[in-house]
Amino acid sequence: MKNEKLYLYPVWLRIWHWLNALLFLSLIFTGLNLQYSKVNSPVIEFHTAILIHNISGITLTLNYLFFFVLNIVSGNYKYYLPKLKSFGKDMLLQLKFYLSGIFKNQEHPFETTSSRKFNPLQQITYLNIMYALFPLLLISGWALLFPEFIINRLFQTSGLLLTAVFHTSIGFLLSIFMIGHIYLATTGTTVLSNFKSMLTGWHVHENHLVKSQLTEIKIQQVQNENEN
Amino acid sequence: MKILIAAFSLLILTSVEPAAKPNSPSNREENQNCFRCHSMSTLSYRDTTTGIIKSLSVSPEEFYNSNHKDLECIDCHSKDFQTFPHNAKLKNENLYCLDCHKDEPKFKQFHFESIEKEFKQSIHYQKLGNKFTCFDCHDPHSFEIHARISKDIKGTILYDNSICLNCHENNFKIKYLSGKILPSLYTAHSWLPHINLHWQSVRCIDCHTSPNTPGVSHAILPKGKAVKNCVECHSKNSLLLQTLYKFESKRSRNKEGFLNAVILNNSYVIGATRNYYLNLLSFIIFGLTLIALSFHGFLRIKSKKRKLK
Repeated sequence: MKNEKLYLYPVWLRIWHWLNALLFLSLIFTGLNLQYSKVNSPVIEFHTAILIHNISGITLTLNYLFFFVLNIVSGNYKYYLPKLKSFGKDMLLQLKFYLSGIFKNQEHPFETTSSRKFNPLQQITYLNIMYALFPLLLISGWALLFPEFIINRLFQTSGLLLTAVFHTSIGFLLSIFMIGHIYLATTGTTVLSNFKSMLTGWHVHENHLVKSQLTEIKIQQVQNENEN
Repeated sequence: MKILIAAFSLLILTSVEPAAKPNSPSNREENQNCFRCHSMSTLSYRDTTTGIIKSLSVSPEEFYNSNHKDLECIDCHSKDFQTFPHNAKLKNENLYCLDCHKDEPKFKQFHFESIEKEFKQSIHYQKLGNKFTCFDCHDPHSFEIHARISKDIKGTILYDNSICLNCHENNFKIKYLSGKILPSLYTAHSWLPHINLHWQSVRCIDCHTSPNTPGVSHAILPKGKAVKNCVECHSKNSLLLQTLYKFESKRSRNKEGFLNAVILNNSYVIGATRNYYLNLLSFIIFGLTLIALSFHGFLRIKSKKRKLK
């Protein structure tokens, strides 16, 4: 018999996750304000946007370092490492589920267990996001905080321009990830169950809830029919 | 003794031979008479009323690289200077740029009449009147136009800003002109983030003049009216397109078809520098993501309903 509830998200992870989300929203909002600044109708003042963006960026860096250290110390990093042998096959299986199986109400191909928190697609995405894109975003962001140290000319173009375009592009890609991430979070047992898990730390086992939920819905349908 | 004088003259002649490209020989030969003395860097006198040492030196090298390189000294200065020692009255010679530059079709593109009007409105003229002249900023012996012809925007910025700094970083000159000492430029601009980077990337006049002029604006504004709103420059319709990038953007527009190219190739301005294609690409990716996810969500809802039935 499988556990119905799993404690997968310890307090430090949840704090990091939600702070990260909050800072990201602030950075996207202020970043868009800077990129699309206007004279007559600013949503927020340019220098206020810069101030909030800088403070959020610095806090994001500290939060990332917090994640980086605790992810290793707690052993949570293991969840990010894909099984190299069957990795390609596993990834296709998961992709196939998202593209067709999910509409046929098939079960998730990789059940969430205490030894496997992420499906193979999550593993490869999160690994790239947390250990490639995130550091690049932070480094380019810090470079823009001290623009006088950026190389003046690179490939016959302004080094500052290249750094800024790079920073904006990575920020944009991570924002797109955020949208996908929030959407895929709704593919849990219920639309909100994954959000609840990330708040309480407890992952509720799927089959248990699906069955109970379906029963509930059916009871309600029967009640409705009787009333009519 | 004669040999000594001849040798001395030869020494002076060779020392003033300019390194610049050759001009019409008549202008060089004529000017040579003046440069014989006036090329000496220490040639100067002490003004008896103000006590200030005034230089009388002109660098031939700078002169023959300047916009006035084809002129003879006496085209502007009195012909009486040809006699030496000069008549003491000549010290009060009053030269004015527009004596030559007005109503001349050749100079039409520079809008000197408009410059004269703007100059009269400028804080310099308002506060100092006739004490402040064109020559306080533009040395006619070395002046060259930059913004119109230069492809190196950083070079233009450096050249133009050095004109302002010549006085504004020199308390002695400021005190002489205005009678007071101004706060340091760093103090006056302490609100401006990344001061040095801004000073390397924009000209003083880009913020301190009114941009709505046909040529290069000469209406230096009082400090309260200078641009202080970041978004004036840091937005798509950046003020800099009317000022610093004015001539460059006109050229670039003809050549490359779109305005952004000039800023992209030369410098970066937050908000103003938006690559058209990257911008479009980001909108497409964002749009497609939303469409794909909405479609996915729609199919999920449909399949769930089907199952419940």
